[in-house]
Amino acid sequence: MVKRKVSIRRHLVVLFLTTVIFLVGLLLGVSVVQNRTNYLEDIASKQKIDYESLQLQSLYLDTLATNESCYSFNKILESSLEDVAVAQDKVNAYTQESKSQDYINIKREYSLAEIRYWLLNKKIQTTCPSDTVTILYFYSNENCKNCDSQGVLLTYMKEKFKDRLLIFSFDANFNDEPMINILKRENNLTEVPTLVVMNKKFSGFVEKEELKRRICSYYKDAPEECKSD
Amino acid sequence: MKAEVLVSGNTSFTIMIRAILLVAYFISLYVIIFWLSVLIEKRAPKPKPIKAFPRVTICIPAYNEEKNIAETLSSIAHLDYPRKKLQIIVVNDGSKDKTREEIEKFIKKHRKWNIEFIEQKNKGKAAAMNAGLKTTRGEYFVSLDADCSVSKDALKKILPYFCRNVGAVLPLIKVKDKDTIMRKIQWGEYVINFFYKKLIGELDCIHVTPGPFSVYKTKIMKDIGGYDEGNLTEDLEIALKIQKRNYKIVQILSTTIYTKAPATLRAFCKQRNRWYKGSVLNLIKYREMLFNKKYGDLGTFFLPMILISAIASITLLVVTGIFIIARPLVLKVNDLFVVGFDINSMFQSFINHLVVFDIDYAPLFLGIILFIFSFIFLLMSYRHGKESIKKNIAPIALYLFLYPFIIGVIWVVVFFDIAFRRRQRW
Repeated sequence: MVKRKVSIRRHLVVLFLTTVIFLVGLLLGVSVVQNRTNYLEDIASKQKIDYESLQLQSLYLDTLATNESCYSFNKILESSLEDVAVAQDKVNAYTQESKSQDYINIKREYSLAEIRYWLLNKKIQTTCPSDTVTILYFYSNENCKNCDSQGVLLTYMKEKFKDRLLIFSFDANFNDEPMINILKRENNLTEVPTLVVMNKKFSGFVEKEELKRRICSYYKDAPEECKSD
Repeated sequence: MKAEVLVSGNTSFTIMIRAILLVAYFISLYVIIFWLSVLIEKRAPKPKPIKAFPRVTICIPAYNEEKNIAETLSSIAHLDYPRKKLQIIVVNDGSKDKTREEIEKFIKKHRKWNIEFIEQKNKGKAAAMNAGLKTTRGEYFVSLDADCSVSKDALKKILPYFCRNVGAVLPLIKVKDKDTIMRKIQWGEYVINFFYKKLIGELDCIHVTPGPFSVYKTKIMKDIGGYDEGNLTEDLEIALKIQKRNYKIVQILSTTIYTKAPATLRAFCKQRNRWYKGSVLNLIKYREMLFNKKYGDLGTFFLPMILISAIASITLLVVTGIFIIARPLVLKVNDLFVVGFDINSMFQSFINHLVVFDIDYAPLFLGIILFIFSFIFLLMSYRHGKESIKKNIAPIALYLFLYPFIIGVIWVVVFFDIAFRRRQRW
């Protein structure tokens, strides 16, 4: 007859081993995720310096505007705005995985950056007019059916129009930042998504062709994208 | 704008999916490490070759096997074993095709073989085996499905493993042809499964003695009353019966039997539906063994694990299939609609904005660890089964990526069938 036994010792050893290996894997993963915060903070501090530099340039332009310096100013503004936009996307996505306080602070920083850039851009247009279109985009990560689609479409438009299109996006539900509330009131925000293309407000989802037409209508010298189809 | 994270969704939902994934990872890792740990065990020395040749009965039940029966019979003809000590019984289980004619033709051609032929009305495989068991004169009784070919050395390799407490010894089974995708998948599956069976055999947990060339001690078979004729999976029932009497079932990998596996997805699903339903029904029949310390690892760990793994494979199907593959895919397609199918630009912007931090690393590293352990298991399987991994990349890849999903679907159907008491369609 077979002598049957329950391999309790084996189970215990295996349980111990499995737990150790499992925890190592889990900690490894978690530690990498922790680095996300560092990565986001790096972008934040870089864009802070960018902003200071831009402020200085703006001061300079106020006194001595030349076409050459205007061009480089607009270029830097556009590229650092894009940095912020990308980082903002990331922090939005990461907050969906974990609602860490680190993320909320970083998110606040980015929201402020978007507003600063928007103001700076507005101000500089008087001294350094550029043929660009600006869009204010109000979205929400919760209870917004079309925000994902609108976001995809805006990312797509940015890819198409590159530096000729400036998109400033704000989480309308982000009540941790009072400045956003001011902007919401200013624009009479009633629903998300809402787009403000130059000064014209569109409540609700704006589809591809419509959005493209709107954007194109503001260019003095329309880019290639507007001429096709 | 739009967040690009590989596993996205709202928070509580994501947490739930992650929790399920983590639990599944832990259980899988536990099970793999548990069975790999058996490898470290000191194993019994290889038995010495037999000196005397005991009489052996090979019983071949055949139902609609006109195409295969002759090949199976002639493979027995090549067995390296004294002819006088072999009794061959073919049972025609009321075949509707020309199986009978094929058998008679073969017998006529090989008169000196003394093949015994039993003809019965269609009563099922178990009844056919019992008919064979009744007329057996052998000390050992071998079941052999009519669609198999036997290695020459099979009996000489198997018989030495019989000692006082051994009830059955099982050879390594491989899939004969790799001509269709389904057969490729099963080929990959069998190599791993039989290594696994070897491991579970070390802890006396084998719960099925398959049709292709399982060798039993005749006396034990008669003692336990032969096969259960009403059973959906008689080969599983008989194994549990042997285990319940506390006889040993030994799996060896040193000799190989080749079997024809179902060629199409449909046939495969039909076969597995029967197997899995049979295993659930027999677990219900032998429920007193479940969680019973008297049956050691078999009762407390292995038998419950069959049910747990069934639930796990359904969970895997749902979680990976719907939430990790289908849902993000639907979202992506939706995005494509939004941008008017300008895939190129969308892909560009996705690539431009992709950062290493986008991946959800917590499950990823565990997934990698699990993959490494599974790979070790695979490596050992192929080494013990004497197959090359390099030459079989296609079957292995198909097995790894398609098999889990198919099995998940089959389990869903099985539970559905059992819940609604649907009768088995043969």
